[in-house]
Amino acid sequence: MANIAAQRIKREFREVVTSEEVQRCAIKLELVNDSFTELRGEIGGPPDTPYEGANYVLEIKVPETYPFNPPKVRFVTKIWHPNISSVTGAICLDILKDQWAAAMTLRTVLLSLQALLAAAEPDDPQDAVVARQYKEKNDLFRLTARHWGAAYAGGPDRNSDFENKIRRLLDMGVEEHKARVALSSYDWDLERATEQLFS
Amino acid sequence: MQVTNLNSSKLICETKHQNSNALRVISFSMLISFSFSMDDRRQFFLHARLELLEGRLRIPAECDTLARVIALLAQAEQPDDDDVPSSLLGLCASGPVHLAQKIAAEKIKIKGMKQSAAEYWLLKEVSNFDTFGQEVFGARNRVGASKVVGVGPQGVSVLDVESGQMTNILYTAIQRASSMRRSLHLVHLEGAGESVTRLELKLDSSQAATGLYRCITEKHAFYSCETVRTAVTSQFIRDLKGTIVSIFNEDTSLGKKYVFDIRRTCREVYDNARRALYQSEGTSSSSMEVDVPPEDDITVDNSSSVASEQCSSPGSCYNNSCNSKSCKESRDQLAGIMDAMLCCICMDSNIDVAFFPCRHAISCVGCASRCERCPLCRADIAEATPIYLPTQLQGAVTMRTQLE
Repeated sequence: MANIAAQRIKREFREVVTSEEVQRCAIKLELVNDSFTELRGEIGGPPDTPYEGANYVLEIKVPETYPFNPPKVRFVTKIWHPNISSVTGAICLDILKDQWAAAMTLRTVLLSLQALLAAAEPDDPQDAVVARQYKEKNDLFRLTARHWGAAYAGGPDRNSDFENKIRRLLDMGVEEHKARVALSSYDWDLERATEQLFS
Repeated sequence: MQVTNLNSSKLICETKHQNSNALRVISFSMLISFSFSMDDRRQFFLHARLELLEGRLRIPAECDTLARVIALLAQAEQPDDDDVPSSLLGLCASGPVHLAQKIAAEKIKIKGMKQSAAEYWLLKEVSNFDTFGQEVFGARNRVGASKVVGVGPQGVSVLDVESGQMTNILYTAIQRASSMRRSLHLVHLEGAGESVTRLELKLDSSQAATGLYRCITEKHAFYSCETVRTAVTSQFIRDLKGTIVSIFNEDTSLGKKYVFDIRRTCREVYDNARRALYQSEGTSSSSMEVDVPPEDDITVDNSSSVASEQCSSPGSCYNNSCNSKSCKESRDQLAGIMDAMLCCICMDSNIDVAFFPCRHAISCVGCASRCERCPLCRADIAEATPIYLPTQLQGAVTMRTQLE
């Protein structure tokens, strides 16, 4: 790894570890390997959002050309959000693409992702299905996002109505995650989800 | 000369004088270089042989390694003799049945090898062992169970003699070490750092306990303390220069004083930092006191110290363990200033370039040459002009580098 990149990551790692956000358990950062090329981030769901109380794990890969090019970040924890792929965890955020600036740090990236959870951009989506639900049925979107947070990210209270529908599909031999994706995509309409799964 | 520590990258020899203990740092690669005398290499070999025969240096379980070690030892003692010397039979006893054939095969491979070469290859072989580089002490725990304590570059390993179970304690996990009469107390973190464990070891004598304590603290300071790294490096460079110069001029005094005292070096580092602070802040250096831990107590973790609200020398106290509110604020403020003066890209060099038309000054010359847009506001850069910071601020940046 280039000396400048390693130097930067070492300092940024120290910056995150000693930051106020760590004390508030809002963000975390861990090294995956000694060469500082891969890190594991963790962000807490922002308050007053469907993600509150959940913790999301991120995979951060630092390129050789860092900080002149952005780090590659994706969500490892499954999440229901218009700007994050519910399948791969890929993120649609301008600062991780063309709007990256060399002065930005891993701390600012983690805080920006936390801000993204609080303020989605449905007009520039990564996941069109989620974005449609966000715009057309926002209340249902919030319930779905909270349910995914409870199911995958240790968030509070799972929706019992949603759980019953998932259990119905499980009884039909459908895998739990596939059942949850299908139901979420079809606004928790059991018939349409079943039709899609078995067609 | 008694060799107290062997390590594949460094050798530390402790020379006993009437009044002083001097530590000498030598690179392992110098064992084979022309500047290293045959007598010295022989000394290291004899020490390694003794460690092997007395079981302090444990040979890995695989049969091939054991056979190779015995063959090299035999070649060094009785070159090209078909029989294994009687002194090495104890090592053979610990091996499997077919060990004799393996040794014979190894002896054929190295037939005709010089004694000195056999000594060298043995040293190279044992340098790969797990317990190589450890200073070994015999001890008992609170309930009287026998323990073997090994102190190495990475940390302390404690072997339970009866069960054969090995516990490794890294230096980073040790919170406190202290010796009292015949006992050594070690407080360390266990597992992922959730639980704190207290290890109490009883040694044969108070000298042995002090020896173990000094061994742990000095090795910790030598291998793990960031603060003394530059001093250690310069000490090593002095020694190396001295060794090279002495080849051409035996009367040179360069590198002849092999003195490395951890406490003195730490004090030097503190002094350098305070001097830099004095120059940048213009405060009186006389009021600054060096905070050196007491002889029998090294504390790695300051979290337990009680915060005092009042400070004896507010405004000029740069002791990092001082927890008074005013000192904390001053330290944070100073750290903020020093951070602000660093290039935000490499976070290493001083800021010495301003971008136009946005007028942001956040980068050094090296990093600026790689930027097409301003690293802060992303505006296109029409011109990057060198700027010159006030000397006081440059001093702050230099001081930060020294402190780190």
